[in-house]
Amino acid sequence: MRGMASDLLLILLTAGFAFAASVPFLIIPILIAPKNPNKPKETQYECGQVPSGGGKFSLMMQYYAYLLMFVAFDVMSMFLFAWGISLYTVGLSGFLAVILFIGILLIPLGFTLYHAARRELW
Amino acid sequence: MVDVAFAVLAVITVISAILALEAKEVVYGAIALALSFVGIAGFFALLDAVFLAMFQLTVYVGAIAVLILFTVMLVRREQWLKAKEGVHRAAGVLVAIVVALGLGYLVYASTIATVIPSVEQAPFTLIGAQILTEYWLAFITLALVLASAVIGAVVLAKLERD
Amino acid sequence: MPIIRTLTSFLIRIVALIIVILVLGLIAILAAYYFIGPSFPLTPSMLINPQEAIAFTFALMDTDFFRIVVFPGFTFVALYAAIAGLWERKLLAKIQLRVGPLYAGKFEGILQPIADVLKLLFKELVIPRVVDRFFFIAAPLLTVTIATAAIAVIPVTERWVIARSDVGVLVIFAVLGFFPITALMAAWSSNSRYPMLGGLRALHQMVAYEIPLILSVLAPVVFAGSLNLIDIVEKQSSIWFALLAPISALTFYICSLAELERIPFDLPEAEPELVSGWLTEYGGMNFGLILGIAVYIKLYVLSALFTTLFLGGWLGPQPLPPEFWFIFKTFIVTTFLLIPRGVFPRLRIDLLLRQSWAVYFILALINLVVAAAAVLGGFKL
Repeated sequence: MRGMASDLLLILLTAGFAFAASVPFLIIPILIAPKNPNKPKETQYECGQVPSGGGKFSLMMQYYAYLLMFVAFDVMSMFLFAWGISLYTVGLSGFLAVILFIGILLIPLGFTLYHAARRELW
Repeated sequence: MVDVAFAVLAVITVISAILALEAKEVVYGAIALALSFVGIAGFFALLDAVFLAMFQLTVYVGAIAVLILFTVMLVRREQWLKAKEGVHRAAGVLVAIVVALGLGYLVYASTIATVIPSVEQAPFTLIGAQILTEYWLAFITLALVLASAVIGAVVLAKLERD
Repeated sequence: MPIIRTLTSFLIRIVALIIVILVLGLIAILAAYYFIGPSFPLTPSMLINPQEAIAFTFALMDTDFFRIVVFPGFTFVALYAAIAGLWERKLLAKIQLRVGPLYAGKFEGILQPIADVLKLLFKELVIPRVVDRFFFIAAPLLTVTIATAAIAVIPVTERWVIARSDVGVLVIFAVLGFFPITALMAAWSSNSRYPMLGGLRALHQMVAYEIPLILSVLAPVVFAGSLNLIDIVEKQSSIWFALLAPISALTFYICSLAELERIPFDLPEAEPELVSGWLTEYGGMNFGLILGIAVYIKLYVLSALFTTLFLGGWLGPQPLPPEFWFIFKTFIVTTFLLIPRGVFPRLRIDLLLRQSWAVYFILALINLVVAAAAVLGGFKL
């Protein structure tokens, strides 16, 4: 099997080259662009009004359930990948195990969506 | 070559794990935690378990680190507790060093002390085949644990809201 | 006089720029030395004997360095990004009954991308005082870096691929998982409300649409029996997977619209609502890096992935070379990804999230189960 780590090294080299090639794009404006700092330019932008209040907060707590579901279903989809590439060797019994797996994991999905629809919040 | 990569990854992983606990800004710590997960994925890749490395990157960095980062951003700074300076911190560091030395000695004196890079490796299609035939009970238990985690979290959120 | 003072400082800066470019060129030549070999085979006899030069050029094209830098690698993708940027503006203009960029260059504004890059390079790089400097500058760089990591596994032909990995499909998902982190980093570091709200919306949207994307890729993988993208294309020589698994293709298309934050999933960048979403505090080349390069690199990655998985990659009728077929098909997919911006309205955030989990997830699962049942029932490719 050729899933060797040298391929991963090439991927890292590609990413490294992109990093090295985009750093000059940030250095060049520092060198040749004008620098005129003044107070309105340096504060946050609030459509022309004077900004007030802090900047770090979270207003979307009602969608937290979707993030939790994402973690569980990410693990599920990785295991489905492990099944998908060994489909021929596993046959019908493996297929039934996977159907059971998906079925068990559809229960919390239905539960969350039912409560979301019922409370009209998420 | 492998030793150099191992040393670099080890340094990155351990330093970002330490930073994850000790950083002043908690968001820096969460990003350092994501970096240590990437380091662990690098270890998997060094051991030629490429499938597992990608699994680790997708699940740990793509899901769990995102969740931790999102949660950490919501908490205001005065709500974090830290160990007091002085005796408690010194005791903690001492225990950590003793445990690290002990585990290091155990690993070094056993047979898994060196990375053997050219052993015949099993194809990763075998992972899926084994999970579904020999270890199917663990597989279904995994599904039940995940389902109960999600349902539990949603119920807790509902209870708190009501 | 102030005009002379600004003129001399400007000239000093231009000279510094030229020196920096020369130094970088020197580093590039040294890197070429290192990668190509200890005996750099450019000899003066090549000027006399052109056969040697031709052989050297062909040998150069087979090295990893050439592949990373030039052909399926960064330069090609950056050119594709520039052309896609211009094409998007012209296409939207034609849909909206206007003309688009017209004045840069003699023919229909064809030099507009170059004009844009030059303009952004000369703009002041405003970094507000309240931002977290390290993350503010690191987030666009990281986005470009991670987006380019995904192009390493995409095969333009059998010859032109940087990393022939046996887990190629999983590399793409690992890369896609990094984008919510960089978006959140960019949003949090600009210490302000509009970016924070836009960043949270971007996070929820990207995260919700990643699962149907992963599941819709699973159907071609089941048909081909391998995670290697080259094998997946070779298995499509009799029939394309878009015809065998159409619902998966449709789900992949819709989920890539969501991953790219394109209309109808435009909420993180919603112009009338959030100024510019999580990019509000970014200006100058910082903005150009994220909005210009990184978004179009992601566009290339997802279009090329769609072509490889569902449209048969580089396979096509013989008189035209396979590279042409790949680029042609990718360009058509890119056009279809760009068109909804002029056609559809925007989805609200709760409808968007509920639609992802209730509709696309189930659709991708159905197609996956049908595909697996067909393969188990004896359907062989």
